[in-house]
Amino acid sequence: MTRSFLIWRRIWPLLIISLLAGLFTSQTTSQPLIPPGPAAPSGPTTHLLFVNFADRGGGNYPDLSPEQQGHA
Amino acid sequence: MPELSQAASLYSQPDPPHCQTDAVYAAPNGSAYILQYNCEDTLFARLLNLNNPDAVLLLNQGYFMNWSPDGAWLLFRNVETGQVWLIPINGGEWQPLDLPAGTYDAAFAPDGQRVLYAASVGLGFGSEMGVLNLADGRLTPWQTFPDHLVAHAAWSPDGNVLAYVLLPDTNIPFVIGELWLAEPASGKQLMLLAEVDAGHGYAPVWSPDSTSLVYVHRGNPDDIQADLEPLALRSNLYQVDVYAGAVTPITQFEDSLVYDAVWSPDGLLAFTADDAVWIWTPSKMPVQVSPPGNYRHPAWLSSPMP
Repeated sequence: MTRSFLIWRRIWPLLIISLLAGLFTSQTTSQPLIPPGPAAPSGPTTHLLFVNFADRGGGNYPDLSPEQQGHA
Repeated sequence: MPELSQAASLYSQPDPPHCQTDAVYAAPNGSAYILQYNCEDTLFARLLNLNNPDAVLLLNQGYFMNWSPDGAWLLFRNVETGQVWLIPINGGEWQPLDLPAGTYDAAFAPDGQRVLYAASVGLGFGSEMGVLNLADGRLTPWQTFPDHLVAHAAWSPDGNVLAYVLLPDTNIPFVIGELWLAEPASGKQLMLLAEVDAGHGYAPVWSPDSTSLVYVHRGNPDDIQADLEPLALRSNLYQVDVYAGAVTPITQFEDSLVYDAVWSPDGLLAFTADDAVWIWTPSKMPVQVSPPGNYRHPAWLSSPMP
């Protein structure tokens, strides 16, 4: 467990020891970086997403529900 | 208050054993989002793209760091290797970033061409902050903080100023941090804006117009239990005008845990308070938009359903 991870735990505290070695399947590449661009124009962001923990039923079922914004 | 019957399920799946959904991060353009999971012995994330709803990308053994401004890329850190990856959300190849060892935090510049990093080599050695130029790979250290950890560094949306939190370099998990305004091209401290809750991972968030920051204010700073137990925090959201320095409470809950502040592009602030989702319109009172008890982690999307 790296020091930086310990720091991250303080900044983003999670109870982590790190496991699942070998399951990480990221790819490496020698290609040059392609810098991301500035913010692209997009439509209005008017839907609220949230996690619903109510439907746990034996496990923890997050329902992610977009909600039409319509409050005052 | 809107009717929750208007809500439609977008994604539903049991959390893996010993895991829980810890955070949700919507892309700036609202077309994708990250689910960050916190497990007892590891952590991972899922990427869901509204334009390609059948393809859920699993990001193992690490944590999401930041979206690119155009929402086409993200930064992800593998906690086993320490490697920070630049990941395209369209399924392209991941690119490793050549950041310093011990990098624990990273964020894009508003132009998307640079990445701000924070790194530390060990307890008691403080931290450093610098910039990686993505176009040429050049790394430029900016500032060192011998007695602090720097966290949540972020440019204002217009790029004119920078803000970050300094935490004491201590083994106490939850502390009071300092929210600083800083020069955008060097990270040099300009003005102490406020004392903020620190250690829980609740980043101050810039308003869309770049004039203010909303942050989590700890209401029980003398509670020793709250230094150790994350749920013992009692908090409210405050707003600080970064140019005038004026601080204003947004919420005034008593004995509540208030966090998860996130702005919509058109200036609405959603947040979590005691497992309910609320929305605040500037100059108005906050409005609860969910029933109490089971709702957290608001985020803003551009479209409701694929």
